[in-house]
Amino acid sequence: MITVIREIVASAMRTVRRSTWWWGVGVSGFVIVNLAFWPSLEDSEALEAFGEMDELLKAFGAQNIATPSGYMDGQVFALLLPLLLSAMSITMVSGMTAGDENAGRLELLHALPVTRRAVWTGRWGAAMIMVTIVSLVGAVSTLVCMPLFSLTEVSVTRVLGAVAGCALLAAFHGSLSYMIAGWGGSRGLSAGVGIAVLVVGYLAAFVLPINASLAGARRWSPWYWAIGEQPVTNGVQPGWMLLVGAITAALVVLGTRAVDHRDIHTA
Amino acid sequence: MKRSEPSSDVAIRCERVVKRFGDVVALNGLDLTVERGTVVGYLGPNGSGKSTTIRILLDLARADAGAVAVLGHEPRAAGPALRSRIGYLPGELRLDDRLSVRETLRSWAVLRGDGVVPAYVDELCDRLDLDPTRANRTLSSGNRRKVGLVGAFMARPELLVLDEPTSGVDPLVQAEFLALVDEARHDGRTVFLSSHVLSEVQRLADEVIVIRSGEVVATGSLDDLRQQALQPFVVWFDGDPPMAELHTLGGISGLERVHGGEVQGVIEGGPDDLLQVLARHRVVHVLFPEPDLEQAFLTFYGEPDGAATGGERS
Repeated sequence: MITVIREIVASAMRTVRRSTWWWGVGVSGFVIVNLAFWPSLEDSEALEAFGEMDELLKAFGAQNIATPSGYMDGQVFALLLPLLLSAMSITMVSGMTAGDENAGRLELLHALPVTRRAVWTGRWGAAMIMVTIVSLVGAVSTLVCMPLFSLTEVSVTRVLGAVAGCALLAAFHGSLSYMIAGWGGSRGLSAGVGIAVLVVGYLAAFVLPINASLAGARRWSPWYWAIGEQPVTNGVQPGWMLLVGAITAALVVLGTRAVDHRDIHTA
Repeated sequence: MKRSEPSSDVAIRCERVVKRFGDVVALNGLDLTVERGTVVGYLGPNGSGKSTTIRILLDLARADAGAVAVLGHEPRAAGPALRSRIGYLPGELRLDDRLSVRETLRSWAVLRGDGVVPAYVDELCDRLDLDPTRANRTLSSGNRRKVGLVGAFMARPELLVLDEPTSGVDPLVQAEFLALVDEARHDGRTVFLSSHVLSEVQRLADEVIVIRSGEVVATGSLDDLRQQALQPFVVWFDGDPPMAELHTLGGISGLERVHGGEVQGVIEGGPDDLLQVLARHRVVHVLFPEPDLEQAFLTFYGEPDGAATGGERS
């Protein structure tokens, strides 16, 4: 059984190795370019002035942008890195499950002596491994850049926690797409629901709380659960992260059970 | 769905199987039996339920009602253990274009477990003239079929379920495929073959099952069924053709004078009556082109339920 699971995961990983490579290059480049601008901005009066627009910056998780940790949050960890990793997770999971099923590429696999659970969880696992690899690329890129670009006062532990939160958020959204695919949704529906929840979660975590009366909305957002308000500045919240992990596991179980009880789509 | 008891002499048994897709009834009380060690052609027009039947046998789809037993086991309950005994080639084979042939075959072999001998996989590639180093995305449709054939045969399964196995492959590979099926038959294995290539079915099948609108409408040997199937003909008369006399013959349809003395039409049943008419006239040439399978079985495909049977089925 272990050999079978390992082969399903490895085979699925082989199909996305090239796209994973480019995601890694993209994330690494994104981190390096953003952090490389800190030395030229840290003493900038313009950045100081910009940092006073607190309400506007909250919409992007970029409060305290004139501080090293606030800058890293605003430019990388509070919005764009989780967005990138979640987009990767959603597209990869929906492609390897609903996409491959609707294209007829799973038919022969399901006719082999393997369980549907093994095929589907194996493919979900492959996508999660790839997301983890790209997250680690982001983490290593950050850690390498910190001493190079005068960001040494930022806590390494908080950076790693922020990366873990971003990866967890990506796993959550990928697993949501997985559940939709497991229920028989098309690739478009699977990815679309994942993206929609990602966007709504962002609005609930960052935009709605600008209005004080809607500040409580953030507590209903997976973004808040996974990465908190500003993960590098304030740290992540392990309790909330456990909640995201539990929901993610539940989504995978629901999707896997659903695919076990339905017909496999053909091209 | 009730569980079927294992049976030693039956490879496939479907009893009153019903499958609906929304309002569409794909299988409407399908009954069929395939004996072990036989090669059976499974024929029917597009949309008749052939692929749905095959998908139910492989547990890719689940029947809404009725009983299915494959090698003595219900497909869903038996799961991977049953599928390890089946080799399957889908009609629409979609390979992952991001992998190579070798990666694809290796992956299937690993998932099939210990039953696959690597040397036999290499032998199959050689016999089918398949280059395993090529990327899937560079393969023609015929070469993709070869990959599927290697995958179906690689574990020497007890039951081969092949949907349009030689579609798009060249004649040399078709000949090799016939040899592979003969070997399977010789080994006592069962082949369930859906094909539109009449010569292939005629050459291979011990028995033919014809399905239409989700029901079996005929079964028997191909020769038995062809006796009742539609046979096109072309006759060149020396002079004006006896159209009035030809029109009096029963079982002839589509009668048409093409030009000069040339006449064409379609016979249902045997050609005896037509030949007797021809014997009374000067005939330059007669041609009975081999009908393709769709045409040959139009009789069964087109008549009302249960009206046309070779060896009738319920």
